[in-house]
Amino acid sequence: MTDLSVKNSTPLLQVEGLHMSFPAGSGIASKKHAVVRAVDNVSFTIEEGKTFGLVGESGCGKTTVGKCILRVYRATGGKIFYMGTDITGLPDKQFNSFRREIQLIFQDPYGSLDPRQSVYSILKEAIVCDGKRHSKEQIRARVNELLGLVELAPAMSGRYPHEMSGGQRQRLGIARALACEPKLVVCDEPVSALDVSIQAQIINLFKELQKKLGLTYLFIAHDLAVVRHIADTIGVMYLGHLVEVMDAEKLYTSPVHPYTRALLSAVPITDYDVERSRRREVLQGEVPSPINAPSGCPFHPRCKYATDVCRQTMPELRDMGDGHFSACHHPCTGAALQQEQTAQG
Amino acid sequence: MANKAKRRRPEALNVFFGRGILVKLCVGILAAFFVISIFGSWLTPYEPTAIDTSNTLQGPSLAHPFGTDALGRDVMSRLISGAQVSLLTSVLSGTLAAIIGITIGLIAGYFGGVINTVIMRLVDMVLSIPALVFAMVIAFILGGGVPSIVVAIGFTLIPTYVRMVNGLVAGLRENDYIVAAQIIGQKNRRILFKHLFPNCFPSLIVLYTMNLGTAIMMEATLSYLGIGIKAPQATWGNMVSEGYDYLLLNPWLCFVPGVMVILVVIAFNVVGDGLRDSLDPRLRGKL
Amino acid sequence: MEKLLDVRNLRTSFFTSDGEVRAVNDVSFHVGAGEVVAIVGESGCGKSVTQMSVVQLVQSPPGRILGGEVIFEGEDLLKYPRKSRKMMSIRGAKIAMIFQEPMTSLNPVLTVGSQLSEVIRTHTGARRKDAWNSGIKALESVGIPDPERRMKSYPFEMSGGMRQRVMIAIAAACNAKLIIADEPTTALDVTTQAQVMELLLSLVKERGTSLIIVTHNLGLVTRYADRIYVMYAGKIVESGTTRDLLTEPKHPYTAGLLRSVPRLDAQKDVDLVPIKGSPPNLAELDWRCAFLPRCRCALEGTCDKLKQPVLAPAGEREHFAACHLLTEVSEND
Repeated sequence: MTDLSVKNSTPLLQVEGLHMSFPAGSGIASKKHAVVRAVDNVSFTIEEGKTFGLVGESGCGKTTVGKCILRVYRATGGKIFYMGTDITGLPDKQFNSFRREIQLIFQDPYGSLDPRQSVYSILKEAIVCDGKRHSKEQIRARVNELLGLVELAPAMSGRYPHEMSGGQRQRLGIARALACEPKLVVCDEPVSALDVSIQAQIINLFKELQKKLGLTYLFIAHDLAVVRHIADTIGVMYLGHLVEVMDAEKLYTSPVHPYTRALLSAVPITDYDVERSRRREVLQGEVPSPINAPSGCPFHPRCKYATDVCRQTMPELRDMGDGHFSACHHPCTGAALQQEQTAQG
Repeated sequence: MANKAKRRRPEALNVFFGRGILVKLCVGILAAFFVISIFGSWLTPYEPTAIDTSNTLQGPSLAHPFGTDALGRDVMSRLISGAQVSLLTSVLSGTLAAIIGITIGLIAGYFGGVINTVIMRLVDMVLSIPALVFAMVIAFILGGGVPSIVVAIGFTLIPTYVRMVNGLVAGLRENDYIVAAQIIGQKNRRILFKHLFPNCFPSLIVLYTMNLGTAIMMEATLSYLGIGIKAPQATWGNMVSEGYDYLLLNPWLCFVPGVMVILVVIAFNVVGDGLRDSLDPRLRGKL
Repeated sequence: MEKLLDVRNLRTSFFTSDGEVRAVNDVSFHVGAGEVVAIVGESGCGKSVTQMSVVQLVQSPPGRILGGEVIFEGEDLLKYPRKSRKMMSIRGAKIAMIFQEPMTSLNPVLTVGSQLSEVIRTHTGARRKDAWNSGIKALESVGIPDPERRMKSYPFEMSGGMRQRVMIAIAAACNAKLIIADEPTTALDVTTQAQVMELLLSLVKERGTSLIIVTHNLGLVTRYADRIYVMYAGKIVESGTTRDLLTEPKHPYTAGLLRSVPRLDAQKDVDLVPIKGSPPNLAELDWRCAFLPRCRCALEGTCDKLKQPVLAPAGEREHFAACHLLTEVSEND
């Protein structure tokens, strides 16, 4: 029973200094030339039952982080602790005991479902993959239970993916993940391919399932509003680096990293009066290619506060108090922020 | 495969036959040929190798519905007897090649890396030798007779399956549902045969039916060259090649077995297309 | 405001094996000079087909424009066959189009410069050399760095945002009167999205170009549009100025959409209110209100007994909505 106390103190997932590099270009000739550092020194923790949101633009490495945790990619550096065990170095055989506890929800629900399998067959496959024996009745009952959890009618079990709507397919994808009785669910852009009116259904479903089953989420998305709505803590990524980590409440009110602030400013708010009175700040330039990432702070070529320090040294994630971390030499706090606000007024 | 599909999805069969008269006709043709090839020896009106020098190169008549050849042998009897050899060799060699080729292709495509490179280079090597020469060498080493012809033709057809499956799998492997299967803890072997193979099936069935035609032709050539099935035994292939010499005197000799080959190949193709569509849940709703 | 484009009772259908799909069912809208109009709707609501019908680019078969008028600068464009010289000269020049994936509208095997200068040449009759130079200027005007070098690069060598800028440059170089932007920023990142939209807007401000934004993104619309049309199942269900429509939505669908989108500035514990069900299949619509199965406000005995509602005044400043609750119920009161 001593285990229990240990369990409470160790977070469900702890990522420490994660690195993931891919060789750039392929073929024999270009071997060992350049590497793309898709994820560079990323660390964060997720407590059990909580949701960690990872936001950033395409190519920032947020999906790669998820895939490293799922072991779709083998991390090239750093450690991933799942319930206190380092799973990065585990041989495949031993990792199998954790395999089903970490599940993934895909962005494209259609592509993640085998077009030749019926709903029943998809769920059955996920149920029986645990290697135990299941009777036909047990499987049938479990399939119905899973369909109930994601609010699909039992009659759907005979359908094929192409006969379902986008929202229904995503529910099926969630049911398949739940069939494995996961503790941690990595959600990779789970609503961005869905219609606006369906997104809210799925977001609410995620929240309900978390309450019912005590799930822990790593929620990866580019939509700040969605992530802020569902996550407890948010990490902002830029070019493979985690540049700011903060409480979701603080994302809108007090971000200190210039990139986070620019990102926020770029996202419109669906309220006429609020939106039209906001100051729009358009970030110049584009995200540089990760193959020749800039020196120093990755954001410096686009940052209006950049100085020589930024061009030369990579800022570390620093504690700003209250669980707020930021990797910036010139965070927009206190005096700097006030100055800007008066300039605005 | 077909049996399993029937059990799981009874509607697949209905769709298959619901596709129209052509499919039914072709299933009928194939069934008839298989019956003939199995019970052939009881059905022949004459002994297929019996020489009758007084009745050579005759046209169709009541006594000889398809006429007689240069040695006075009854063409119909030889057709029936040849069906046995031709269908047997083509189906057996095609199936042999499919089983081996698909398995190798699936493994090479799914695991990629060094295994893939080695297998594909081997395949390239085999493909660089003309198929006929390759088959001839194998047939020569193994000696004549049906089993050695089956192995010889089968081996030359293997690379076509490996190539196609490897290419298909390389594409399919990137699909999210394969990643999904890995994440739920599905075993590699099951992923290969439960997800990758069924999704390769539509293209494979087309290749399989095409290869049956190739096999019949190849058997004919080998027999013609004298390495295949020995002379007095009739096959459709050697009937065509023998009849070729008398094309102007008696075109029946060439046409009848030729038409048989074409009929079987077309029937296989139509049945293959029908199977492909009826086994695909996405196409099943549409006719 | 003078109407640059006035679309009246446009109807476009697709004739498929499932029967007639009424993708655009009696749609009317207009765009004033220098106005930014948004057409908002979910996938399959017919918003894109409406715009494709305006320029007669609906794939035919299976699509067919069945009726209506598309009056552009005082002339009904539907009177001209789709491949007529008139349509050719309007499409791409007077009415420029920007699609979600610019890769498909640029030829991958030709350099950006050759495509850009060709468009300029056909629409202005300029010489090859002059067209090339105006191409460089056009690229410069849309903020593409190093335009001389960029003229010689191929579309695949550019980022999505950059390609979208090229499309805008083409529109600007031809002096387009109207730009139809169909989900122009959906494939782009948030910060690039803002850049592209600001660029389009500067075109509107500086040259008085009119802009139609076709999108599902309510945020985009809130920020940039002057007026909004909301489409559902092939029909316009609500229209009005951005302020009226967003602050006082009159159609349950519009209101539902607004409630179902998470707001960046909202309290964290405020729950989203989704719209139940999913968008209808256009081939399976019945004679009643298309939103009925998903409507939270539907009145039994009223909404399920009546034919499809028509647009009726719902407020000041040209605010219209097509809902029985507005017309029938208020009359009964």
